[in-house]
Amino acid sequence: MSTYVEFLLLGLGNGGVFAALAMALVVTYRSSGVLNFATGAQALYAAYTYSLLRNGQLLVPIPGLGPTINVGSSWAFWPALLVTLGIQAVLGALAYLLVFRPLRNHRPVTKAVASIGLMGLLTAIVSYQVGSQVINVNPIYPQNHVTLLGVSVPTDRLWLAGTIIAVGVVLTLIFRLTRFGLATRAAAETEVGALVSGLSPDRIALANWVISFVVAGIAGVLIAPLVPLVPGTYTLFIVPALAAAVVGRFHSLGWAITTGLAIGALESLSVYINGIHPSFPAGAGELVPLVLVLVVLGFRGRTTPSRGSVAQVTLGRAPRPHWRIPTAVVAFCAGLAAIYLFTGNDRAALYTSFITGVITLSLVVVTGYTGQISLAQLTLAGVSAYILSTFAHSWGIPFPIAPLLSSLVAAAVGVLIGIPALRVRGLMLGVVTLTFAAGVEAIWFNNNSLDGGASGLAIPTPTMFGINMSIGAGKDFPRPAFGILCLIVLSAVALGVSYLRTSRLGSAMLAVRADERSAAAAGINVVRIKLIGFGIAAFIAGIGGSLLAYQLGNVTFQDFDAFLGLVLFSTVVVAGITSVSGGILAGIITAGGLLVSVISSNVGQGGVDNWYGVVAGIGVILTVIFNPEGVVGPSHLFLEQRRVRGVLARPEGALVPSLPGATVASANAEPKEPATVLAAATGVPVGTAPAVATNGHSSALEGDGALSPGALLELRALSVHYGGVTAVDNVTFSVEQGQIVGLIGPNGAGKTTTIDTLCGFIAYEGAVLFDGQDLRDRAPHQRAALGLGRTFQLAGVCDDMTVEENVQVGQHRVHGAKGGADAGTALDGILADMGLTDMRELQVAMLSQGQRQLVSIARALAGRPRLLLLDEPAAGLDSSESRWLAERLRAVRERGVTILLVDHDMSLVLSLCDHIEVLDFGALIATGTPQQIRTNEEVSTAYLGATHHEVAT
Amino acid sequence: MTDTTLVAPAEDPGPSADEPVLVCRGLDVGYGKVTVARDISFTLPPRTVLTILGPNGSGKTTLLMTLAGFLPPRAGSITLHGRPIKGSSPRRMNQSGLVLVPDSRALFTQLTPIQNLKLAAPRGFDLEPVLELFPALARREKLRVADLSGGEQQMLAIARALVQSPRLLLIDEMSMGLAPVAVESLMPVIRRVADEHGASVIMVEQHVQLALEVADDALVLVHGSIALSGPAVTLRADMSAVERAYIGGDDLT
Repeated sequence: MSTYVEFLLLGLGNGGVFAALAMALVVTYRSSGVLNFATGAQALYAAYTYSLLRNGQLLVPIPGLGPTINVGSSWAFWPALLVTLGIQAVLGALAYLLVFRPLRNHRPVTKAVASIGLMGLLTAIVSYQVGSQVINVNPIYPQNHVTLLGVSVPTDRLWLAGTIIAVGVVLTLIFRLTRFGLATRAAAETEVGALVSGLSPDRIALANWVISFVVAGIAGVLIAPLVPLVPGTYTLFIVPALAAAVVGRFHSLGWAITTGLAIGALESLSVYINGIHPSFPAGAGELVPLVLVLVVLGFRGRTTPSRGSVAQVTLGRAPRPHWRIPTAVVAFCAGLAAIYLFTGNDRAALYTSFITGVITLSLVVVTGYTGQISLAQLTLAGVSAYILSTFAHSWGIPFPIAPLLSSLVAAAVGVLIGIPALRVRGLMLGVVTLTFAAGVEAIWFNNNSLDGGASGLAIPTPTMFGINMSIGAGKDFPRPAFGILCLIVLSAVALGVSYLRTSRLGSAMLAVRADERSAAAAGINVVRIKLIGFGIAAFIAGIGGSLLAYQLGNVTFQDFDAFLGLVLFSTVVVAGITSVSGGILAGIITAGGLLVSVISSNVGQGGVDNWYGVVAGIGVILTVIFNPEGVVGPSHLFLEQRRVRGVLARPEGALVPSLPGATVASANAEPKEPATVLAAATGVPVGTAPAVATNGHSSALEGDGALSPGALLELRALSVHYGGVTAVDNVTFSVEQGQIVGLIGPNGAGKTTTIDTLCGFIAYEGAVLFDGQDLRDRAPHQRAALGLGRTFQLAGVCDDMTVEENVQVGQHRVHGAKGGADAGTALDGILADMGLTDMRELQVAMLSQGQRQLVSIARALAGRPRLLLLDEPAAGLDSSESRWLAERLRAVRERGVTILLVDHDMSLVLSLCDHIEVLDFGALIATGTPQQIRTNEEVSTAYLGATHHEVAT
Repeated sequence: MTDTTLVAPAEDPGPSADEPVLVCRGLDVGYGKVTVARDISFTLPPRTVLTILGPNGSGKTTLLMTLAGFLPPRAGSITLHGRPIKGSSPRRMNQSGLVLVPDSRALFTQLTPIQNLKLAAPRGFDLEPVLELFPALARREKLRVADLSGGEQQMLAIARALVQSPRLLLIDEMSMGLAPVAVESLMPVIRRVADEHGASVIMVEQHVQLALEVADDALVLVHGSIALSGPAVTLRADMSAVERAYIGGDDLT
């Protein structure tokens, strides 16, 4: 028993470092919203600076200027520590000013990718400058043992943990008691509040970046004598630190420290248990971060995203491919020529590029198309490679079958990783997948009983129809046959991914990426699409992993390291994560790929390989700052703009919605023509007795109330509570078949909440009946299947897709994933009705706000709804546009669709609706015809506010 | 800011006492791809309370956010204290004496009211005169802002602006979510800010009557353009015109 305690306490050394890094993570996240993957690398840099200073050397941060400067003989502890922390402070300020300040208004994902670039850069600088040179550092703390709980424990671990806890206490006091600390907490809660209070969020963030680098630096200095200085180890300290920060919810320093120490202790314990029970995997302790992250995020995450949580992932547009087959043929021929053109190492590097291209295409599918951040794709490739050894080597399954089977296993694991994505979104999903990758590496890839020992796992030669397709060895290496195999696979995968982009499944993926709620309301089963995305991507990664295994001949864990997976992710972001060409380009520019090889064989051996990490790190940072769509982004944009100009040149293809006289004239011919509306408005004095009662349908209007046989939708005593607030309060009304019903009220009256409730996004009390069926417990896409369509404020359509593709998303449910001639005819009809025929080929991003609203309505119509819920369709339209919209909506009603309309545009609502319901403070205050609503005093009070007279009484 | 005391009326409100505080010419405002209000022009003289009225969605808040530097203007010009504003920076606008009270209030809810005020006030600023305007706040010293009532939070939001000795105060929907009584108790404070402290005020308001009683000038925004403007007295005299602008429709003919 006592030995268990001893190992738990031994783990406090690493645990202290995890705790410190977790604190640094919390500090940067709170102050600038950056999930800083570089935190481990910051500690690494400090560890090297300190160790070298103790040996009388100053680490030069700029490669090319010589690795170190001689600064006397060996330095004492305190001067070395203080100078190290000073350098860390400067680096922290530079990191903020040069990298994260320019990105301060960008999305969290963009900032996180920049931090991955920074991580790569810091690690690469250290590798370049110091390389594998062994640096010995004297211990900092006294090397004694004390007896604690009957166990003899080395004091240095206790000292280290104690120091980190002391740092935590000091930081906590600073944040609680000083003006700077208050300002930091204040700005973290609301940046708008900070700005209107005259605070500078900028300076606050700068100071916090300095603190973060210094805290990480303290961790690096303290651990340097305990853990051998190896770049990869230190950088991946980030995984347990992330888990600790997640447990502290990126807010509580206390929880972050406690969890960090606990993870360190448990990891140490698992090493001990492995020592006495060899069947217990030594890496089991490294699963602790994964378990913690899953538990904390899984319980906290919600099954549906909260209001307004538009997906945070815009890693650039996903352009629609054109000239697919010609491009593929040309690219294939070029690849074929390259195989024979290059020889030796360059040719091998070309193969690496082909194979990496396959793996990076999996990232295009899961992140670029589906919008799910997966940092585990290289690990999935590794899963396939490891299983391939079992299938092909141990079981003797022949060539094309074994890798396909192993890729299927990877696909299954990929779907497993996708399950947390149902509750966890955005960056936190990146955290989950990274901890997963690190866990798999620790418990499987790097497990002595599973990894085949030092030589790795054997992979047999691939042969088919008697043709040897191996890469060969010795003089034979690298054989063209293997290259052709890789090229064929890459071309097939690239074409497949390209067809996926234009397929209905691909449209559904992009819709999920653009806005999950909007996709669900359009009838898409978001859960299914996400899992399919993860599955397809993992299968592709698995194929890439199998090829990599054949290339290597045997498989070791280093090839599928979690750190490499992170670097690969940032490489694809640089190349362009949203397009096939970006995926392939990522393969070419990757480490060990063709570009590096060709440059180094022309410029001279050695130099380029070492420079690669530095250049790649800087490349990632520059790309996210200046060109977030990746290297291939601008060329796609250029091509798209040329196409738009082509359409514009056609006379009928005007981009501004034209309002031909005929349309307006027919609007005036309507029974409720605008002139009458205005006359009625002016003619009726305010203050006449209310024509309508206020409590639901207890009025003279009961005749067409809830019990009427024509009611398509009925709300019965609907209430919604958020925390202590009642957003919707006992609302009862119904919508008649074939009518246009308006739902109006001042800001915060509960209109959008009501619509969200009808769609299934919000829990409620009372009942919602649609066509006589109770909608309780039905998911949003199931409600869509019943015939409930909806649009969102500010459209909610997918900018990347064409008008046609967006509308096809709506057809997903009715016509299935394949579509067909029926679907085409229906599509033509809807586009014609909405006046979008000329623009069907254009990207929605190119359209005006009014046209986007029409696309949104067209998409909802494509799902053949019986009831259409429109949330502020006239937002952002000018008067003539909104009259034109009213025309379109009347046409929709002519198609037999009932409409429930929320809008602030009173003239639109009054002229268009058959019936109007008015909400104020969540309660229904009036219901009636437009004429009745116009003259209702309560309504005008709700809109114009109280008068002095009313207040006084 | 040079004048740090709130109580002393600004003796030197700027280069010239009669120079307009704010001039907007042909301003288009919006966010993302949406232009919300178009061609807004008005002039705000010193020590004037201007109320911006109008139905929901007419662009009032967007206009205020643009004036405060949170959104870039899409067209037109803004001139503050005689200097044309280039680009958009909420921090620069705040430093030139334009202080916004946003409709979300954007208070630091985990801190106490006094901590909120101290963060906004210059070092050494005497909070007492401002707290005297809102006696209810002084009684809530020990509570976190999250535990204050809606009315108290709104008082705090205004107080937080006042401790910055604004030369131009923008208040967005002060009455949002408040009982009419609470709104009425806040209105005189706005008047005092202009009369006693020499600041100008632009307030976006739902309570038309109450706003017109306090304001000097009014401007009704409907559907993104100015439907009605003039002295508050004039508008109050003909409420039916305001009423029409709100409910009856807009420029339909």
